[in-house]
Formats: sequence, structure tokens, C-alpha cells
Amino acid sequence: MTVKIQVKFFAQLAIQTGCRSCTLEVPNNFYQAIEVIGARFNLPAKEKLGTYYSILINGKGYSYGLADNYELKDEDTLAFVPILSGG
Amino acid sequence: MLTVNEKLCTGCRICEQVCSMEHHREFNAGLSRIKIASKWPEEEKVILCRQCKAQSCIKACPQGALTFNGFVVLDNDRCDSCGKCLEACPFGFNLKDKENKPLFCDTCQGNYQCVNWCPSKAIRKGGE
Amino acid sequence: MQWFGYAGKLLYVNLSNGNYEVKELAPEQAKKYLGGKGLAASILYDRLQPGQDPLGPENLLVFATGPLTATLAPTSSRMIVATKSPLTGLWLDSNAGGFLGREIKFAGYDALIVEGKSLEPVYILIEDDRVELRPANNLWGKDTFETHQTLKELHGPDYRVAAIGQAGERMDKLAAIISEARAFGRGGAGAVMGSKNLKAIVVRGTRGINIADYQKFVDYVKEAFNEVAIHPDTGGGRNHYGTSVIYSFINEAGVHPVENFRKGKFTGTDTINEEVLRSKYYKKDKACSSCPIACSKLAKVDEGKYQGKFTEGPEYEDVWSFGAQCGNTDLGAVIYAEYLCDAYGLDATSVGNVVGFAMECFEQGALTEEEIGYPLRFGDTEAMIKTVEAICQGQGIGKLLAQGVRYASEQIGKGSEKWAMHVKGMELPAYDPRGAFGMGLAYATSDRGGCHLRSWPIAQEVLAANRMDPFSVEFKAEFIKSEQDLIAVIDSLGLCLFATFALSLKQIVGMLSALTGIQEFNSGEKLMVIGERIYNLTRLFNLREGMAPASDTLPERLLTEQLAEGPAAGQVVPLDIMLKEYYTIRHWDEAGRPLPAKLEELGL
Repeated sequence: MTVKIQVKFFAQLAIQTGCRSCTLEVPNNFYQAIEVIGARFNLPAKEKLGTYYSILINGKGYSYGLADNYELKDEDTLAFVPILSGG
Repeated sequence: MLTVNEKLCTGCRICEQVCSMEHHREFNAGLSRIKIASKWPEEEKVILCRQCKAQSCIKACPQGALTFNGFVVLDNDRCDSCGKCLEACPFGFNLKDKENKPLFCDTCQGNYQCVNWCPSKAIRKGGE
Repeated sequence: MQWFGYAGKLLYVNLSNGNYEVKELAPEQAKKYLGGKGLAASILYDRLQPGQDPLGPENLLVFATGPLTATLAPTSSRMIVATKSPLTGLWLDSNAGGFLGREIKFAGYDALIVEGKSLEPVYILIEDDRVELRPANNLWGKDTFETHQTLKELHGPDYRVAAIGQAGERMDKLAAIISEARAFGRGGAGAVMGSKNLKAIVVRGTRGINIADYQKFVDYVKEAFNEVAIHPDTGGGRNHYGTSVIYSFINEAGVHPVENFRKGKFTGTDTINEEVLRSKYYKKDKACSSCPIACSKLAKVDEGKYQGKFTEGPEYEDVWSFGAQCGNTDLGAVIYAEYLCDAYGLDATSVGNVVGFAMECFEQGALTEEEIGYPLRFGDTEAMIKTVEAICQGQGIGKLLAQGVRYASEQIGKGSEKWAMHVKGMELPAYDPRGAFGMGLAYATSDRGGCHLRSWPIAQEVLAANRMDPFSVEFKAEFIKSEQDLIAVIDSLGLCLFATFALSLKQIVGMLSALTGIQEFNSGEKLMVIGERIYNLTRLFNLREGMAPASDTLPERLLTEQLAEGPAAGQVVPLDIMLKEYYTIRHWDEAGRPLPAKLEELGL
């Protein structure tokens, strides 16, 4: 099954991918979805997750309370953010 | 020979710190053979001997205290601090120590430490 | 004593009688308090009688560097100004980079302590051993740009300057001290300078700083440079976008306060974001002394109403304060507003906060069009600029707003106190703690009031990979306590907080002990004890000044009003639970007073 989601890239990732925001059709499984996105934008999505960037789902961080089989819904927003440490 | 791209210079003055550390084992911008002069918000100006081919300084020295050996070498005993060499420099190089003797770049024995440390690559060795 | 890293001397200048005195830095004092913030805290605690008027001649102004300041350690540009704040009536240390700290160190001093009050406007001129008070009557009334220019033309371009603008002269509580392109912004240190009739300090130093273990120091510094260069933050995004690198992300996470903290997600991000800043306004990367990150950007407006106006920045905080906080979507106006604050010498974060507050007052009817002189609605860029100009010029409603949001709300009344977004009198910056609970505890327990620079849990709650749940209270107290202690160390060393993103405490210890050769600095544990000591000392300072226990709190809005939308919808900050745990972990009693056993352990 696939879902239509909004994908966003911030800061240097926007330059790297050449995209700030777009709508994509991806598998509804979170981990499969980021692999598809990684292939599409030539981003080592899975390997560098957590060391070079992190992901927000609808504005909330992914790394707590997110099961392996987490499913995305239509109109979810996935935001890829480089690891940043302060402002 | 050193080339400088002032547009890339952020004004961090790491080069000044590295230069005095390398030559004198202390941090003292006044002993550095490179200096970043800036008048905010204008662009930074990088002041150092670029070891150019013109070598106007050597020709200008009345004491014959300057020679060229890949870089400008100062004979400390001969130099009488007259400042003619600096006046002659087409690049506006004007760094002097407390005795008013010129502070020519000696390339850190070919190691070019300012080039190695410059984080924005504003200073490079010629041909690189 | 032979000092390494340290200059080894403290310069005391008394403006009342025009005398100055150079004292040796006591080795025990350095070992106990490091330098910078810690050194200043020990000096202020010893020399300032409690209960003094912050704007009276008794108050002290301490300019202090750290042992790493002016060395090659990456980001070692920083120094602090400490005083009793006219804005909060409590402890204040305000930190800035640039080149002033380097020059003070090169002149041979770890700190400059200014006492008393001059009868006439003066500036302090320091050239190594030579210290003079010079008349500043011709500088009084000039903005900081002109003041810098005049003093540099007079003394030479290599002289470093820190000056106040007209806001400091008027002793406005939001007045900052400006040093070239950097600001000692928060808490009103500029007003203290103005109260002393001190327009500027001008410094030129030609001395060296010694290194205890040369080869070791070089090795540690090389390693540190490498870490900074390869880290995705310090070597990537921050270098490219400056502090605004976090802008879109913070907004996406719903913690970017909008219209005086009424909403948590800004809709104006088509025209305000880090990419527009970079492509349209940034002209050049700029760096503080010995900093490879170069997060500072020369930003200039090329066209339109604000053409030709420039600033270094604008920092993330000020893109917020003159952006979402006022509902403004014009980045040119943000840059102009920051330019004005730099020129007149004001804290741009607080000024934007207080303008947003005035907008809410107007919309709620607590301030009328007659009182302001024009309608002041959220999103009205022109009205925002008018109000910033009024604050800068000390005219009309600006006169009141320049005294900070707490004072302004007390004067306005009509229930406006609940829209005053401050802690202990200091205006809150650009993060909504309803979307990151730890930030709420950090605001409530910061030693200088509502500030994000004593602990910044946003990094762990929103930004980092291994994050803590932003909506949980678990681990927050523990995390914030240890970060406050660590940052007290960093602020005492002369490093920038941004260095800690890439560098471990172990690497910092390596540089520090190789530089200074001081045994007491040879482990992270020892430094963290010093950090805890400093944080407890500033706490004791605040308690001695009569800080009420209940002031470790947040504005009512953040405790009771839920956000309507965004990731933090429906949340309020559960502060009490975290605060109780925090006091326990700190070994402070229920009223937030350090327990005797803790003080004894820390040697206080």
C-alpha cells in the first residue's frame, strides 16, 4: 500500500537534494518510505539517519515511541533535518 | 608565492595566532608576519609578504640587508629599520616588529602554516 | 607567578576618583572559578554590597575573559560583562565574541573591573600598562557606529572598542554594550555603563600569551579543529546559514512562538527562512577571533524601503523577535530593526519581544491609538518599525517600552501583566516551552532570568537524533542541571557555546590543561565541580539580592493556555514537577536555597 505524503528538507539538506518541499507517493511503512525517498534524492537515507540527520513526522521527532512497523498516513509530513545542536 | 582571496576571508585571524605560535611559541598578534586589517563592514584586507617576483623591497634596501631564497630573507644585523623596503612594496605590506624591522613571511620552513590552518581557504600557495 | 593562558592581572578602574590599580590574579581564585563568568561572579559577590541600586555608582561592571580567550583554541573569542542587572535586579552576565576579549588579554589583563561614577562623560583608554580616562563629551549623544568610527580614527584601526549608544546614555533597561559587530546584549549592561557616564572602552594590547605545554596544546587544538570541521552542525549548516540554520526546523516542530506566544507555528515562512536569508541578504561570512565556524554573516538590504541597511546576523533570535513575534514577514524590516538596535545600543531580542507585547496590548485594548499614536497590530510591519524607532529614540510609547516588558506591563496595568512574556524581568527568546518542556525548566531556573543560554534542551528535545521526548518531564531536571554547570564552565573559559556541539569536555580539558599547566583543570569531573560552584554562587548572589523563591517560574500563559494547533497543540508546561525534582538534584531546599552541605562541598 502506498500513501501520499509531503516531504520537506531543511538547511543544507535542501541544497543537497535540490528540494525544500514536495508531495510524494511512498510505501506506507516508515522505513520503506525513507528508503524510497533516499533513492529518489540520492540521499543515504537509512544509513545516516540519526548520525547526520533526523526526521520529524508532523513536527514530532521519530526516535521515541515509534514502532518498527510504524505506518504513515495520507497527508503526513516528513521533514528531514540535518543534525543541529543549537541556535 | 602566496595568493590571497580577500572575499573568502572571514576575519577570524587564526592565521595571526598560528604565525606567532609557530615562530614564538606564544600568542601575540604583534609578532605575526600576517595581519588581517578590517574596517567593518568593509571587506577584510590581508597583509603579508607574498614573495612576489617584483622584489621591489630587495632593490629598495640601502643596506643590502635583503636577499631572496624562495622568500625574502632579512639580515638582522644589517637592517637599520629605515623602512624603505616597506615603502617600496606594491602590495602595501607594512608589518614591523617593535624595533621597526620588517616582518617578512619565512614560509615556516616551507610548511606554510597559515595556509594549512586557514578555515576558509582565503590564503593559498601559488599554483594550488 | 609565571602564568600560562592567563594574563595574570586584574585592572581596577575607579571612575569616581579617576584612579586605577593593577592587582595580581590570585592562583587560588583562578583554580576555584576558572575565569570569565566564574571570576566575575566571585568579584561581584565579594565587592558588591547587597541591595544597591543597579544604576547607582556602587554597582560594578566587570569585563572578564577566560584562560582560553585569545588563544588558538577554536571559538576562543568570548568574554563576559557581569553586573547587577537594572532589568532584573539580579545577577547578569552577558557574553560576546568578536575581538574585544582578545585585545584585553593582549593588553595584559584577565579582567577589567569598573567602579564608581564619573561626573562627566568619559571613556577608558587602555594601551598595555597605560590606562587613562579621556573626556567623552563630544561622543555623548552619538550612536555606536559613529562612536566606533570616531575612536578608531583618533586612536587607530587596531584599537578595539566597546561602546554604548543613546539607549545606554538614557539608562534604558534594555540597553546593550556594542563592540564592533557583536553585542553584550541581554539584561541592560549598557544602562549600567551609561549610569557611570562611561561611553566606551578602547583597548590596544601588544603582549603575548604563554603556552605551558606547547606540543600537547597544538595537538589538542588540531584535533579540535578537525572535530569542528567534520561536525554536520559546526562544519555544515551553521557555517552556511548562521544561527538561523535552525529556523525552519524549529517552526516545523511548532516551538517557534508567534504573536507574543499566542501560537506556535508561523505561516510567514515563504519570505522568512534560512534559505531566503542566505540567497537574498547574506553578503559575506564573518568570524569572531579564532573561530573556524564563521556563523556570523554580513547581511545587507539591496533594494526597497530599507535599502543599504546592514547588520551582522540577523541571528535566529532576532529573526524571531522582529519576525514571528510581531507577525512580520519582511526580512528587510528585520535587518533594519536590528540595524537600529545596533546603532542605538539595544538588546534586539528583548526589543522585538516588547513590541509584540505592545501589539497584544493594542489588540486587547490595554493600549489605545491615542496612547501609541498609531494603530499597532500584529503583522503591521510599518507600525513595528515605527515602534522600534520610538524605542531607539526614547520617544512616546518607546520611552516606556525601552524599560522592558515587566516594567511596561506594570505601568500599563489593565491585565497586561499576563501578556508580559518574561522570567524574572528578562524577556523570553525564541522558543515556546509548551512544545519542549525542558526549555520551560531552563527558562525558569536560568540565573539571569528568561534566557536560552544557560541550558538549551531544545537540542535534545527537538533537534538531535537521540532525543528526549519533548512532552515528558523525565530526565529534564537532571539534564538541565548538568548543562547549566557545563555552560558555566564554557562561559568561564572564553569559548563559544557552539564549540560544545562538536567538542567533548575531554577535548576541552585537554586544551585547557596543556595551555595553563594547572593540575586542578586536568579532568572533566573537576571542571564540572567548578561549573556547579559557579552556578550556586550566582544563585547565592540572587538570593542575597532578595529574589523571591516563587520567581523560578514562567509566564502564566505558558502554564495555563494551551496552543490551539501544531505539534504542541493542547500542551502546557508542567513546571512544578520538574522544578521540584530540579531543586532536589541541585541539593537546594523547597524555596530554592542551596543547602549548607552542598555549599560546604563546593567550598562556598
